Amino acid sequence: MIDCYNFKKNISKYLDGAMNDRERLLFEEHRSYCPECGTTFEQLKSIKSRLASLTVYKTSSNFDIVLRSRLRDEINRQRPFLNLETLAPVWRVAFYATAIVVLIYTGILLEKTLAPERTGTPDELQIATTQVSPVPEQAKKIPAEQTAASRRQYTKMTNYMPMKKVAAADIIRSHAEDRSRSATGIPGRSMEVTDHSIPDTLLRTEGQSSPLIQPVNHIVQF
Amino acid sequence: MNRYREKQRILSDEELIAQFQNGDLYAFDIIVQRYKDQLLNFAYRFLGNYEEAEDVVQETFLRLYRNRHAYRQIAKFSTWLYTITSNLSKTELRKRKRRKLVSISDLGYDEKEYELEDSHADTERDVDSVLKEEIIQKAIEELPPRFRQVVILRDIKGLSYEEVGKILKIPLGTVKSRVNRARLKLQSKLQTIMVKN
Repeated sequence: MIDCYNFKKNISKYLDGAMNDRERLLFEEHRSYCPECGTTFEQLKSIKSRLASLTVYKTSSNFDIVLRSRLRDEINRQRPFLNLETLAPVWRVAFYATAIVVLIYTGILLEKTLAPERTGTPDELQIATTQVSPVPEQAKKIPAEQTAASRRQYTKMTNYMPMKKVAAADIIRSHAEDRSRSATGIPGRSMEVTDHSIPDTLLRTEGQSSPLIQPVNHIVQF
Repeated sequence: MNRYREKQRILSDEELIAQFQNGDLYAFDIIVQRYKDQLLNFAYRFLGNYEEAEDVVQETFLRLYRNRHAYRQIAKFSTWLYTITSNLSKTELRKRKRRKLVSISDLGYDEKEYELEDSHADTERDVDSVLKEEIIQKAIEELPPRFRQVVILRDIKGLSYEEVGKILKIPLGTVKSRVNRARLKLQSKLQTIMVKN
């Protein structure tokens, strides 16, 4: 036995033929003795049947023309620009991958362009790496007062002398010239500092490199 | 070429959309021809306005064109297309409410002027013909949207409960109970007229 609430709740189940035998018997039993539910059932059945036979409308005659026109606008709107949404996923991934590669390559090119210019052959640069760092033997013998004077001289010079990047090969060449002058008795260029040379005196330290060596070493280490 | 086109016409929806995704616009055209009337009837029953319904269908196909690669073959194509139309119809309904158009629900049920048939006109009419289509349409429009959708999809379009659930993204049990409630609501709205006739 089912009540009116459960009867109404299960009308669709009955109409869909989704009830088992026992459920169907109980449903039909209620329908036979409850006139109100019986009427509801009949009306609902009619409505369901009527809904299935409602007029089927067709699109208007100019539907296709209007749609084509709107599609043409859509295509024209997309054409000037690359619309990633319309691309297949594979092409979208390919696009992003290409963009990343181009970015990386541009970064490398920029880094190379902005890096300090190096002169000299690879061999010379290699020599510079190994030869600039050691302090010459001569420097160890210079008294501390003279070294201090040299430092003062250097500080004075750097105050007005524009610093330029000095190539390692030039430093080596300059050292060689100084050594050959001191060997032949010709006065050295120790105080005639130019952009391309380092005076011997400036190399003299007490166990540490002269300040001027620092930027050179940076270049050599590069 | 023509033979190829003819073969295309008997392809399944899923095969056609796959071809369209590969750039075949003719496949898109076949999809339009196959679905435009079905979608129009769904939108029209939901909105109760032919022009708005046609506009919604146009927009559905534009969305399909724009987002053709969004479709994955995990879902039935027709379900996917109906979901677009359903969402656009609901949006249209909200727009209409915002425009503050006079809704049929603003009037009391008894105040509406239904063109009831003359009882002496044809004594052999069955109950289906008594229920004039416009009356049914107005009764459908009076239903809350969530009931309206299920009754249109299930009873007018004849879709299965499973398909309705997928289109509306609701569980099967919810679809079944909602369809039953929608039918009962519709019945109670139409009851008076049926009794009168």
